[in-house]
Amino acid sequence: MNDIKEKETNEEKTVQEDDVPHDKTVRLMSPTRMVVRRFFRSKLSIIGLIMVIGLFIFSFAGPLLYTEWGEIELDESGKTEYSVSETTYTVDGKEYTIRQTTEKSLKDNFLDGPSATHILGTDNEGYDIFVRLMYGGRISLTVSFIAVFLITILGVILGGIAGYFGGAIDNIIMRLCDILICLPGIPILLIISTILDASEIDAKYRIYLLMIYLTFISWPGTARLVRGQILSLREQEYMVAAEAMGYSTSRQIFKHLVPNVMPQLIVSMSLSLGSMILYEATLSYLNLGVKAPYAAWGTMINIISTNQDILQNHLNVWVPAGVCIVIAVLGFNFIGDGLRDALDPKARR
Amino acid sequence: MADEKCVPFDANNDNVILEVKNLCKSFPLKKTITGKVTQELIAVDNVSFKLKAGETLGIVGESGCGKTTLGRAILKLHEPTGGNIIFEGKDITKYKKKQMREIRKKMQIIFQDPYSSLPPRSTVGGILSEPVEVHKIVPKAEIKNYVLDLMDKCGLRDYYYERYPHEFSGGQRQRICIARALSVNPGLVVCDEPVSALDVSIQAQIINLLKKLQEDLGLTYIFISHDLSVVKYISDKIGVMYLGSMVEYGTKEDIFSKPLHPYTQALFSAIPHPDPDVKMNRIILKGDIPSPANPPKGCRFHTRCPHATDICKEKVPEYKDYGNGHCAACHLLD
Amino acid sequence: MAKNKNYLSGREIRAIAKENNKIMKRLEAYKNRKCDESEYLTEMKDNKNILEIDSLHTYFFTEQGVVKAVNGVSLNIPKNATVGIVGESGCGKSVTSMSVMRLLQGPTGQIYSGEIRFNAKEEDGSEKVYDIAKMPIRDIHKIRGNQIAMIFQEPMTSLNPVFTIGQQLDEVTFIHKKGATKEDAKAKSMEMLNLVGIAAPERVYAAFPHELSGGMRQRVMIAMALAADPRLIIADEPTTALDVTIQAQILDLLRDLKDKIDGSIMLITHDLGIIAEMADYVVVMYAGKVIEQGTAKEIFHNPMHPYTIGLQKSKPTLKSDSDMLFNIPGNVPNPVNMPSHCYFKERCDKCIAKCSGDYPGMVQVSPTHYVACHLYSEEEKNNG
Repeated sequence: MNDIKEKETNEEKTVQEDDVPHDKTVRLMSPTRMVVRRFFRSKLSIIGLIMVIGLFIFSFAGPLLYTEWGEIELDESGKTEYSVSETTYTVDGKEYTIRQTTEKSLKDNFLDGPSATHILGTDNEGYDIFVRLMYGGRISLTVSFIAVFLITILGVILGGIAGYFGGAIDNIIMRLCDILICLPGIPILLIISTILDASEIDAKYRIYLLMIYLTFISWPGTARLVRGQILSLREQEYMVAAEAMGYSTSRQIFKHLVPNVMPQLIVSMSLSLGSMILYEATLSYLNLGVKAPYAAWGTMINIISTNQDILQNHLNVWVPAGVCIVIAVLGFNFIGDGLRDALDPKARR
Repeated sequence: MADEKCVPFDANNDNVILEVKNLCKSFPLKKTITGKVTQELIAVDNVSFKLKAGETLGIVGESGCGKTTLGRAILKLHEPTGGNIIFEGKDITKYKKKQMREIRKKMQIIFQDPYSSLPPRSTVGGILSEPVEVHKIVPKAEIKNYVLDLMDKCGLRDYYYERYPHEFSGGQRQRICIARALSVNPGLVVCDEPVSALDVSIQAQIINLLKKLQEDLGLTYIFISHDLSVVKYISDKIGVMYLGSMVEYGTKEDIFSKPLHPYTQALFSAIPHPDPDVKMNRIILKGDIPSPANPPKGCRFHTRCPHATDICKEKVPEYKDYGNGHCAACHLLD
Repeated sequence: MAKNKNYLSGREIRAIAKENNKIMKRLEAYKNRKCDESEYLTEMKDNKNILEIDSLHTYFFTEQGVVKAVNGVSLNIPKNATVGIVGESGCGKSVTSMSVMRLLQGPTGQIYSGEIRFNAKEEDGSEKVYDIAKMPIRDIHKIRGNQIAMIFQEPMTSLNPVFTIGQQLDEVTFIHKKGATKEDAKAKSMEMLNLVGIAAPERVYAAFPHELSGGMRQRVMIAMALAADPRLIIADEPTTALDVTIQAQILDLLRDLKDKIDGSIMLITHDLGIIAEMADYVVVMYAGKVIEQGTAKEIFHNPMHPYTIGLQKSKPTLKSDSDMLFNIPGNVPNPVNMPSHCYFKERCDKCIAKCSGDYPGMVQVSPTHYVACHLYSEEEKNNG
């Protein structure tokens, strides 16, 4: 029995006590599990997760499974367009109408309605809309992930430096942030786009260049978040302890500070994924991003600007792309909100 | 004001591990646009003492008296604004951050709040082996055994190694903090209110642990607390601080048997005694502690002192030795 | 997720959550129900008491299991007396007071069972006894604030920073005294500020909380608690956040007020010294249960439970001469999955064979002194 140990002198017990047998039977919830549980407690975050995972499967696995059409493969099955002309003659007070049908054979099967061959029909050029939706998703998701990744790296490094060192360095970085936030985004994008047009860059890559520019003007948000977090974490006693332990500066920043900023960073990353997708769509819509014949959700909506008829009568051409954008942005925002509630213990009810 | 001859202690300096001479620390409150300080908060004002190896100095005072700042300034976690810190015969006052890193393993600190002073995302094993690794205390292969041995010394079970701090109670966390401070084999440990966040029965465990470790490892402590009765159990020398300056200093016996300064006397009588029959003749100080940003003129204590006279309001009392190294700063004693 | 046998498995967590949700839903509905006053009117067991708590169980339904924060607490507060509740953190002393005030954070914190009988004074002077545990939350305003007032630990955060002290004090009068005019309220507020020993009440009345020091704020909090002339004041660690010299001032004030006001004080603290100075009766709690209760003299001069004895010995005092402090080994047991035997068994140095059995019942050792320990049960006495 443990009683023998308990009966030892008090002095002995000071060092070797501590632990009642009961302590071993106590089981807690692991920190990861706690976060996962809190995340899944909210229905919205589950919906968000399903939306985003669904979009990923659709965009990345879709083209591998559904290989009927390619991204820039025209349906050249041909389409016969009939035009009817009527001529009216009046002979002896009687009217005669001669109806003449001309058959015009066209090379491409464009603006076709949904059918077995084209699940969502074809667009004004004759591309398969369903397939282009998948390829457009690839572009949108990849581009926004790359942009958010770059924003986070830049934000963490600059915000971390500003927050940890303070003083003049902090001042310089933060004023740089202020300046970048003041820059009007869209006009500068137009200018850059013109330059890119002039320098004849491959249509496939110009969107990436534009997203790098977006990264450049968007990092101040993340940098401010990281700086604020680090300022408050730096006052925590375990950071003073790390200083007292004699750890090097880089160790203090990257082993002790940054991991503790991670929760907030993950939240802000998932929220900005949504806004990056919107940005990409806007750029493509304005014809600044991905250009035809390559597909992007924004470009696909842009088709309506070419023909009033499509806006009214061919909803299958542009509505699916719009729905995809809404699903993606909502999905990422739901996940972001869910993560914030799960990772911030103070937000518990 | 304290001068060289009044630094308490006997002439034998051989064993002195730490000497603090006229240490000052102020924080700027207001600055002009050119960076000139127009208003400052004097947190530590002209504090001097010597500490022999293996001894414990207790520092007592209320909130805002600068005891925490003093502790951190000694470790240069706050850059002192005046005076000297001589540690193991070397003046470390002007040491750069890089040079300090070497000294760090010889002087350590234990904090008040065992909840915020442990990094939340590392295991106990990780927290304790990191300093050993950084300072290369033992070869890499022996780190784990070294840490387990250390945990055993501090009363922590070996299976705690894989656990996270949030799974522990305050007392156990404070043991982890103590183990972390001792992992680099320091000579001097500053204990900044290590027990005031803990329950009474746990307080006693931690104090006894600290005492035992001191005997076994020959540590020197600076023990900061607001509670005189706690300090009594662990200290050899006691310094009482009020609004940034040391008002009384002496051996434990001297301070407890004949407190000289009226503030020390008031502190003694303010502690509630756990016996319903003892009705203490309590000295109740009137008013509040003045703000350290705007301390009163003359003797800092005169606004609350029951014996204040006119001279107290004008002249700062001299910090003098009243025999046997028992120093105090009060006009009444002249 | 790494498999770690120290952690709960997913299945266990789901089982706990399911069980908790069922109980929480039921209790929450009970709390929010509409009902007639007669449903919670009751009788006092002893008319000398102002508050009687009878086998109160307050549970927190957490994700890790049910925390029985208050696990069968019974205590009485006589009229015009000060009852001190002492214990370490996590012993349930604050939760007991929160239960009396019905300030538990729902839906996790719930009164599971038990009675809290409170003798309320109606405006016409007659007395009515309510069972607070049964009251629906919408009726609680009948007693909270005006009949029972509370002083909190944190004077820094208990006052609203955007209103002046005067506005906050006047509000108390407006709420609890029907038809009070502005002048009435101010007069009452000034009277209260004078009562708590504030030297310049006019200045404090117009001040914002941030302009006052901690000690002053605690005085204001006391004034606010007193403004509605409550029958019972619950002071939850009123001096813990203050400096020793300021604590001495506040204790002096409370002792002084004890005689001036017509009401009882329930003083919750971890400091035995404060209890010894203030309380007439002492209740010692450990891990959600009362382990010993009696008059202050009995508890301090003749402590019986090994925990009470240990607690007194481990408190550092100025008077004692020994070098080593006594300490109670071990830690307070985790509140989830409490054992069925005495909770103090693992830390107790006077353990006997019987301690591994059932939880000890309350043993009466004098008309006022009760202790929950096997050492003092009938059989033990006969054996010894």
